[in-house]
Amino acid sequence: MTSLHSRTTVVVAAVAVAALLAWSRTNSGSLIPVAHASASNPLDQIIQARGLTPDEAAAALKVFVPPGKYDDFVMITSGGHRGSVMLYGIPSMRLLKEIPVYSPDSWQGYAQGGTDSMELLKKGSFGPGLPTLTWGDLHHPQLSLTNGKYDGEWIAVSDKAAGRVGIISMKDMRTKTIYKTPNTVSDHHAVFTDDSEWLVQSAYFPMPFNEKNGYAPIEQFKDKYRGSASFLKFDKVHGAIEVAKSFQIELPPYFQDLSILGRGPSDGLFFINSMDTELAYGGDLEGRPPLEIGASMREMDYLHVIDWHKALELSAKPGMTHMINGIRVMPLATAVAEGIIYFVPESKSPHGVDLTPGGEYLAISGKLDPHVSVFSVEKIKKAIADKNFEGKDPYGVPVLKYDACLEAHVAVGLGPLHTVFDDKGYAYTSLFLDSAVAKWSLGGAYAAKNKEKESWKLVDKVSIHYNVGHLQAPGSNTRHPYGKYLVALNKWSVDRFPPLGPLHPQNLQLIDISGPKMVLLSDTPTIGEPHNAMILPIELMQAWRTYPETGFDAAKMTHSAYAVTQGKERIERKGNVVTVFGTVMRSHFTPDTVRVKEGDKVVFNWTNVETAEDATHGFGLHGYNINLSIDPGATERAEFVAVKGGVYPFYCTEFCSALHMEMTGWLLVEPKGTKLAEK
Amino acid sequence: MAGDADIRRPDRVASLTLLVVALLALGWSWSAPWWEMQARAPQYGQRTLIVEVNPRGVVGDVFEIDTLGHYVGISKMENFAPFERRLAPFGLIAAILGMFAAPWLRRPWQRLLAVLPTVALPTLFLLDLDLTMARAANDRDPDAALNLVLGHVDTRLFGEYVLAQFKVTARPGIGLFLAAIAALLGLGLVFAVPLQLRRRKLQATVAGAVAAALCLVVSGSAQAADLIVKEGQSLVTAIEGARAGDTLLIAGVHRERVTVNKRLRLLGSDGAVLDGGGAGTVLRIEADGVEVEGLALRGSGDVYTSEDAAVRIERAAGVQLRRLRIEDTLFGIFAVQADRCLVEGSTITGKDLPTERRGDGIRLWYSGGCKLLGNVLDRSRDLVIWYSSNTLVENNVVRHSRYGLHYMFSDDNVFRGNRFEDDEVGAAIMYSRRILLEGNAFSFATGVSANGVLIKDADDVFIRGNRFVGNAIALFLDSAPQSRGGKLEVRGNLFARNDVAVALQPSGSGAAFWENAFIGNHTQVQIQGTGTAAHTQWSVGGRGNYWSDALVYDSAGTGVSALPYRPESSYEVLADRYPSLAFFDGTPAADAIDMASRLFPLFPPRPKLIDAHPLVRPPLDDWTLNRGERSGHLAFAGSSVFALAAALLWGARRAVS
Repeated sequence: MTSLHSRTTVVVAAVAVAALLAWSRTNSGSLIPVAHASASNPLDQIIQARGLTPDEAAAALKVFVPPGKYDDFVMITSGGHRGSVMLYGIPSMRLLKEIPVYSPDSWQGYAQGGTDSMELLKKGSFGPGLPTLTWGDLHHPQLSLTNGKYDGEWIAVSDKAAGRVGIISMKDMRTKTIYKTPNTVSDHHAVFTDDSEWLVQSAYFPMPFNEKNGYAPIEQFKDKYRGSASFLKFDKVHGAIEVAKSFQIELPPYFQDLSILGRGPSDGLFFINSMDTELAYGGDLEGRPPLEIGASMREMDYLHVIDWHKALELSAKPGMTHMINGIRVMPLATAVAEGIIYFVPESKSPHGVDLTPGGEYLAISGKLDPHVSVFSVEKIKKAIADKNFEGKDPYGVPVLKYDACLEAHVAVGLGPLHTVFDDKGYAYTSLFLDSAVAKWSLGGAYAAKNKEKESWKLVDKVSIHYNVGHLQAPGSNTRHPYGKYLVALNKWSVDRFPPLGPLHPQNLQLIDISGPKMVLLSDTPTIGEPHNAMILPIELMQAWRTYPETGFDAAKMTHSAYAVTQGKERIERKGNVVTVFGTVMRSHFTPDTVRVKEGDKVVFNWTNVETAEDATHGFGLHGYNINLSIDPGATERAEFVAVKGGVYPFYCTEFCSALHMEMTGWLLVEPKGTKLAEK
Repeated sequence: MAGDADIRRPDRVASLTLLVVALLALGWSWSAPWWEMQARAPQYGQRTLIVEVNPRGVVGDVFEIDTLGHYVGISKMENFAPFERRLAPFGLIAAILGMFAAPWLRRPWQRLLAVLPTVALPTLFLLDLDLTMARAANDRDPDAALNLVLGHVDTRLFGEYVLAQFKVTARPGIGLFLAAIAALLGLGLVFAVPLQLRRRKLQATVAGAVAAALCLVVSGSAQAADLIVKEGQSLVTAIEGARAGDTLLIAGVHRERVTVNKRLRLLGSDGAVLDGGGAGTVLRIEADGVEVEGLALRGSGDVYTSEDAAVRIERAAGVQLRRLRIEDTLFGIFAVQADRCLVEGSTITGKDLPTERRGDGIRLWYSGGCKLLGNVLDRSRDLVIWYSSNTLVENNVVRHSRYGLHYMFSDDNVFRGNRFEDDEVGAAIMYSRRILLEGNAFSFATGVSANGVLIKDADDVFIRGNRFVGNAIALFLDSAPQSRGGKLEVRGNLFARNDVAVALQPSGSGAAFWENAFIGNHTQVQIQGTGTAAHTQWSVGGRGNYWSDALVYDSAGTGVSALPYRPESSYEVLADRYPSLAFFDGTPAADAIDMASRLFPLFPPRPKLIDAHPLVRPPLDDWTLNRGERSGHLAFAGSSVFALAAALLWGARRAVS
């Protein structure tokens, strides 16, 4: 409210002065003598000293969050091939936290010698013969839903580099699951159903998964390679995937890309964009056009419309699916025969398929077409019921008549990619080529909300710096969008920040969408490559401030079998396995001296017995590439073989108290052949 | 001599030479302009509007002149002299027949009568033109918006005069000279000794003359055909039966969808039509070197997934399409891996659908070395050139379309003398290098993105002598040039009456603008967002641009002002952010904001650009001059041919005698 008042004052004052001057000039011809204006008001002095324009001053007030206060929203954004998720506050755009998923993070002790996180990465890799993956390409974070509304429980993230889904608990903001989906090597986007019972993903790279050893020469692309949609049963309690209840539908090798699950009138339908109905597979040194050229030859690609409720029902019947690499797969021919899959022509190589909050319309933009195509779910359903087909694709999938499914074309500008929605009946589309965001009015039931004279019409545009990819608004992909802010996740920053070397950070631009005109508020450089984000109100951020009990196993979200209480600390030796049950608190390790023999297997179990907020301790062990972050209440573990004798100090890596420097200990590894007498 | 048969000895060589040269001149005149008018006005900058008139009608900037004429109440040119135009071909036939007869007629009055049509053609043309012009210029619609601005107008057949703000120059065209030469030669025949009618000679002469006349009338379009496909015969069957290298002469309407899979030449006679019947693609070309000429194609389907088109060329090189008339098809020409194709002199009109539901007039996809010359695309969606390098796009017109040019990932291309009018976007040129845009016109791009030209992520782009009029944003540079050492030169262009002449994203690494004329644009230069375009150069070699709002002072008389042009205004800073404020442009409110900022420097103005050497006068545009020169070349070439013919004739005459 403060910012609004100040801005109003500034604007009213400016208009008043302007009007007065205009009046005096036109009427008397003489000007009101204005002394050399130096602003007397201290606020004005600041504005003047910093050389701000009126809207820059207003923007500054809008984004400022006073010390000690919280932002209104939190944005959970992908870190791309950094393999992590970032949390930003809105409107301040302060970076609040980074959560590692696919890549190690030594600060948080993630996959940095910690037993549980190392195991997560190992299980989430391709399997025997291939290395443990220590990176991923984290594209689209999704938030779990209850009744189609954010519930603040889980974050699911995709991995374009490996076909995995990662699950983060919003209770402690730590990764709990990395699931490698069979038969797919890429997951651009995974979405939750309205009650988070299912997590649905689509394959990006087609694979010859039906073939023995998963191999077929690329020339057999059309016949042997296949895409897929994976319907993964989500265990809401443990944040895990129940593969036995999950299934896949085989799809043509069209590079299935972004997708969305229906709700309301579109409930039970799953929509996927595709980009290579040309069946191009590259081969630029082999006399074929490069893939990007081959895949943009046709005018249209196909929006996949999958009746997944029907598929779910049928998948339980015998003969409808067969097991491939540990998951049930429904063959494409079955899906076609059972009327589960249909195509709608869509402008070639689209990026987003986005659903209006009520689930009535799909907004799709072919990035080379300056329009958003709005498809009506009702019309699509009717076209299916009427068998209003314009043909079949080479795999026998019926193609619905384009005009029969289309609700509107909205002219927005060049290079439209993604669309998000606010609470007032407007849609916002990112324009990659124009470097702009377009705001347009929705029709249908939304016309009553936005009260625009014309539906499906551009109403405003704001310039972006530069090459906007995704954009996001609070609650946009749910039944309950919140509006207020929009963040443009820009691919290039070029000149927006000082010279920082050839690799530039990307640029997040915060835009105020509360008024009729969009107003650019701020630029924020990012960490990693932000692909998409989810924005939720601060009230839904209900993470624990400390673990709920002392000796908590964060991986299993229960009391740890390896926890000890103070006074029960001990070192156990069984054969050549030495296990430490220790505690940490300000400012000592108990035990602080551990003796083992060269070749012993060493297991450290550290319990942080502190209950004070923020009293985290680290366990950094020299020489063995281990660092743990032991948060208040947590029990953390590290296992390794003491392969080389010597003295290896350990110390607390997280500054904890005035005596933090003293919080140290020793791992003494007796080299083979050392005599006890020397002890 | 009068009244009596001539008794002097006839000179057959001289008479027949006169006859042949006169016929040639007459024939040639038919395809050449007879009269030309050039109009120049300050608001059109250096662009000269040119119309050419011959007895069959008017060509040139008819659209612009009609648009301008509309404001002052002058009716459209196509309504002028309809009767005369229809009569003209008969006049020509009469003239040709008369000329044939003349050498053999015994009496001078008969000969005079015979050559009379030839003499009358240019004379009547000039009289009629004079009358029509005078009437059209003064018999104006009284209700037209600006009718009263114009008083009585004295039009002139030749010479210079002033019509409203236009300086008009009228002069005879080469066709008129040719017709006059024919008339003079015809009069020569009147005074020549008549030839003897000898039966065998007569037969030979008549046969020769008929052949020559046929050649003239058909004007070289009649070609030897291996197969003639008449209406009612199947073109598909004919193609099956034809051998590679054959020419098929097509007549009449064929309701067929055709695939050409061998090297054939399809030649349409007048009125030849290929009609797809409203489904699928009308003509598919799947063999190298196929030529299609003089054919109308219509009635494709309207299904996007099958890309229904008038012509689809797929994996065939060196295909040539000439003089096609394409109507009512989703896509016009859809070329897929069609290297070195040629599309020339064709008109392409899209289906009667909303713009975004139409197909592209021409799409070149992964097809190198193609040429698009002198085509007219009207009411199609886009002209698309993707992944197609070394393309020449010359003298085309693209109007009432979406992207006049949608162009990406294609290098080394030349766009010259094209007109992009009333499109949503004139041209979007992206992800490419070494592009020349020269002498094109980008007018009235007023769609949602509404750029006359958008250049994005491109290097070595040369924009010279183009004309940008009435666009929302005339030229938008986004990350262009973008590479180290990349160039983007904007020189000698006219930017007039655009909402924004040049919009820049601050990211570009240094475009150079010089010798351009910025006249009467709402906003001359707009920096998008809050950056500055510090890398952009606004003068080169001590010569900047002409800015209609610049305060200039040129004491040395060099044509370059001593005062730098430095637009800085709070109002503009605001207007850049809030385009709706443009509504207040030039109003007291805008002045008030500017003034307030000067007196009350709370919000300091920010300079957007500095042109250290603004020009005092708009620089002349090479392009318009070139256009003038081109018709000059034609006249020169024509007179050279005549001089040669005359010399040969004279030599032959000497040899005979």
